Amino acid sequence: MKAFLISLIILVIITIGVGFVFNNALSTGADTAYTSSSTRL
Amino acid sequence: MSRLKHNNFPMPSQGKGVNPFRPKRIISHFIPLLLCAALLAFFIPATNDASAESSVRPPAGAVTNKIPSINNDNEAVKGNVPGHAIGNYSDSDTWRDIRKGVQGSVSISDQKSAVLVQSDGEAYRLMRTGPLFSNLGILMFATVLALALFYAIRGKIRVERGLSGRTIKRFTTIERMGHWLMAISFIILGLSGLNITFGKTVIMPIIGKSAFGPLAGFLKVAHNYVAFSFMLGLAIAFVCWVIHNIPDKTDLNWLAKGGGLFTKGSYPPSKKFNAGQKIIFWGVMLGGLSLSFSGWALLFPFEHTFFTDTFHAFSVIGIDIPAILGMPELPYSVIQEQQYNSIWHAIVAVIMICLILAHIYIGSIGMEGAFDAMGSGDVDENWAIEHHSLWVEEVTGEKISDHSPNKVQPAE
Repeated sequence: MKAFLISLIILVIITIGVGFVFNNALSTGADTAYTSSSTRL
Repeated sequence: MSRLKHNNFPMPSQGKGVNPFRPKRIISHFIPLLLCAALLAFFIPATNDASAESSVRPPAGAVTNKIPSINNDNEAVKGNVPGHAIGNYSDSDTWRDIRKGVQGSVSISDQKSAVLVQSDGEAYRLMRTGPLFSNLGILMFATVLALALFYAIRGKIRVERGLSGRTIKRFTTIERMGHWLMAISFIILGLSGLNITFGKTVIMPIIGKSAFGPLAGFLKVAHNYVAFSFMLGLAIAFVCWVIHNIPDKTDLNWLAKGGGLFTKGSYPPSKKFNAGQKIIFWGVMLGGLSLSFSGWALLFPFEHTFFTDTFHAFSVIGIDIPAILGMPELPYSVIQEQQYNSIWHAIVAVIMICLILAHIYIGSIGMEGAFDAMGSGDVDENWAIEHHSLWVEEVTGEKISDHSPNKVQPAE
């Protein structure tokens, strides 16, 4: 059970860590994806 | 007469002297001017559409010299442009090209929007909601049914010698930690992934739209983040066990006897991992690696061309995979890459789910004493002798005396 609990803790840490690190990369807002900053009219 | 009077021109009867303003001479001078004016009046409307439309209306059916315009819907008739002035290319040709996925140009940052209609997307949608949906569902259902039937017929595989009470260390804490990290994350990924593919059809009618929405959103985020734990567990398992999972000649004997799964009293010898476990190991490693790549491409969309690169690599050695599978020719757009990644991810995941269902069955209710290997890490000696006799000899350094086929058991 020790190994199971350790793996569970690691999973939670990695999941939360990834959430912090990749949150912006994994959820691109429409204002960024469809920005008109470089739009040439 | 009255008009001449009005113009104050003298009448011929009024005098016979030379008069430069005689009416006859005046008319002869003005006739060319009048002709020029008439010609101008005729040609100016013919070369100016706007003025012609606004002021001159030709009679119905009259032939005009108007220049045809492709923007004028009335001009594109029966696929032909009247006059061939700008080529025989009609609106229907334009829309046909758009329907085929022709790429235009846009000035916004998302260049994918330059493709107005991505027709492969419709094929993808039909594939996803049709054969992919039904076949993957049938495959999982058939696996569960087969395991249930197997359990009903074969029952739980017991340790025939009986439990000895003495144990052998089978897996270290690191090995088990890697296994459970992979296992827990795979279960979360499997359930959340199945919800993406089947949830709308299976779960939503049960719990309702208002509950399904937040649930699906949460599971989608969980799927994204837990994937990294799965990749770590995969790496740990590979490092720990790859050396023990290299195929050898004992695997042929094990496979030839069906691992003893279907015959009581048949126990082909095996090392630390038997052929069945090696199949699961390589299935999980290769499938997990493939899932990781396709999942990474889905996490960070439109940045990778894995399918184009892979198929191109195969084409170098003469294997044309797109032709074999009836897929469009290379190269693929980034949108197509995403669609293929999505389909491939689902197929590999469901195959792995079926493989793992069998693994979970035989490691739990299907075989006595099997769970201890990953539970405490210590297995009963008799269980080890029956399942992995060659490994026991290797660990203990002792020759197992009753190494008869009747005394060695199938794999977990």
